[in-house]
Amino acid sequence: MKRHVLIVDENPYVVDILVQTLCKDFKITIAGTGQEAAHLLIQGYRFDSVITEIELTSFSGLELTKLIRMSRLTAQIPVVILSSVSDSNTRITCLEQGADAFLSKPFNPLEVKAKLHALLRRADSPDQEVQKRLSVRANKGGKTIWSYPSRILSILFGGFAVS
Amino acid sequence: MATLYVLLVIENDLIANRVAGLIGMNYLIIRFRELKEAEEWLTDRQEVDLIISDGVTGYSLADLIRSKRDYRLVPLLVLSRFGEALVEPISTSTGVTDILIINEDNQRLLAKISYYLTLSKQIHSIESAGLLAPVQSFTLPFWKRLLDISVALLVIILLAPLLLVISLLIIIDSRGPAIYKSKRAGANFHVFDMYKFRTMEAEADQLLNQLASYNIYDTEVPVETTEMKFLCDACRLKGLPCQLVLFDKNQPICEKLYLEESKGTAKFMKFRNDPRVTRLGTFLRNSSIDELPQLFNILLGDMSLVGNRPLPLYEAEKLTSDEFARRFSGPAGLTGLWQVKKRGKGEGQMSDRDRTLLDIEYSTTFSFKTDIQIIWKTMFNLWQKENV
Repeated sequence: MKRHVLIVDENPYVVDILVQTLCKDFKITIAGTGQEAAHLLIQGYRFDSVITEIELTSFSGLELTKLIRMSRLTAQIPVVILSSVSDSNTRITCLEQGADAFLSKPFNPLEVKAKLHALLRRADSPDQEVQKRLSVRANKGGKTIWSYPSRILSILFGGFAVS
Repeated sequence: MATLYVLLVIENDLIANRVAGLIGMNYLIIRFRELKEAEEWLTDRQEVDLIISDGVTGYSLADLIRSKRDYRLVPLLVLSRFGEALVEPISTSTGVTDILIINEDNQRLLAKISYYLTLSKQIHSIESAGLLAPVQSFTLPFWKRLLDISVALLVIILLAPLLLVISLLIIIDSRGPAIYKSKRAGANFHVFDMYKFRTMEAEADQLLNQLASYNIYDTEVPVETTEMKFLCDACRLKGLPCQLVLFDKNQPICEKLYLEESKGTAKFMKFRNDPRVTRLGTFLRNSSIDELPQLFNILLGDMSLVGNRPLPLYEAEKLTSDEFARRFSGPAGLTGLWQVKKRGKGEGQMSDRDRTLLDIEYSTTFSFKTDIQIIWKTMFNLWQKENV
């Protein structure tokens, strides 16, 4: 099963090089603008990892990272910044705002591939924990019983909030 | 400020009131108990900026709104609580934007809700860029491939005896194989083995780093000593100590200066009178015979007759910047614009920047006519004026 990667960059030639290198190992979706990427995330599309440039015209890479980290459904996925701005202050800002890795342009696409594999190796384990938390039990049609809110029980069985 | 509309589809009154209380008075809240009612309300073009719904109804609602153009981009939050089952597996694409954990404290819930409301507004206010052209990987046009195969086959058949003789000579002249394989990046950064006649001693690659000082592409950068004035102009004018210190092996350096310097260093390595080249190799290079095995690459489809030089990986990875990445959207070739523009005339050096810009020019403008012209000029330029 190929992992699904979202690539966000406004330069089609850079995207082209990435696709050429990554398409054997990953399923790829491309967003040509930050806004388009935001649309995909709002609509609930799921990705295993995201590669984004920071400098995007309408919806920046940092805003995108914030959106990914905000949602409980995507908070765990690795975000790689691949940017032409590469001074250390920018790198630090990105990492502080929730990015997992920073690669600067010009880049070696093989390094991007290796980085993705490394991050996904790491991301595999905590993700399952979240899955367990929001436990996956198909009970279609069953109605939730809200009428007995019991904090103690939920803390005992569900662990604490992570955000 | 335009009014923002929030739709709640929540059965339980207590929870609905709590959520409504959180959202506050600045927004228009519409609440339904049942999915059906909400569906009816959503049929005509309603304004809605955020939808919050029960876990059970959330997923059916998701399918509904994601299928309608008007509501496709509305964030949908589904209520849940820790320890309780969600209706559908998390892993599938459901159309749900986020989960709202109802037993978190109010501040967290509020932060989340207001974030999505601002996001919704922001997304709506941005002019839609329209559909983007899908990424087009470069493929050789039919006429080019046809020309490549026919010319390459013809030349290989004509020169077969010569190729065999050269191979034998190389094996006799110095230890090692006749053909040298180097990893190159061609069109779309497709990496392949490029074949050449071996013109250097075996194991030549390891010597490369020792030779960097001979590089003809290197622009003169004054070498900073260890007591370098490690202050960029900006800091010096303000009378401040360095604001961006990087730590090198044995000394601190200013990041600004470091970045400027690394821009100045050459992207390509080429040497005059490279000491690693064998005597026979010098002749092969001058006559361009060393390039002949690339005809096999052309047959295989890795390269074309005319195009941008496929670059060694350490050079190629320096050209994947926003400015130059376009270079890889053209075909890789045996000869190209760069070879006929300057090199043939024996004019001085061409900077690697100009060379890359020529590559980009070719990628965007190539046609049957230009290809034929370049092949024609190449014939005249084969014997190179420069010893490179």
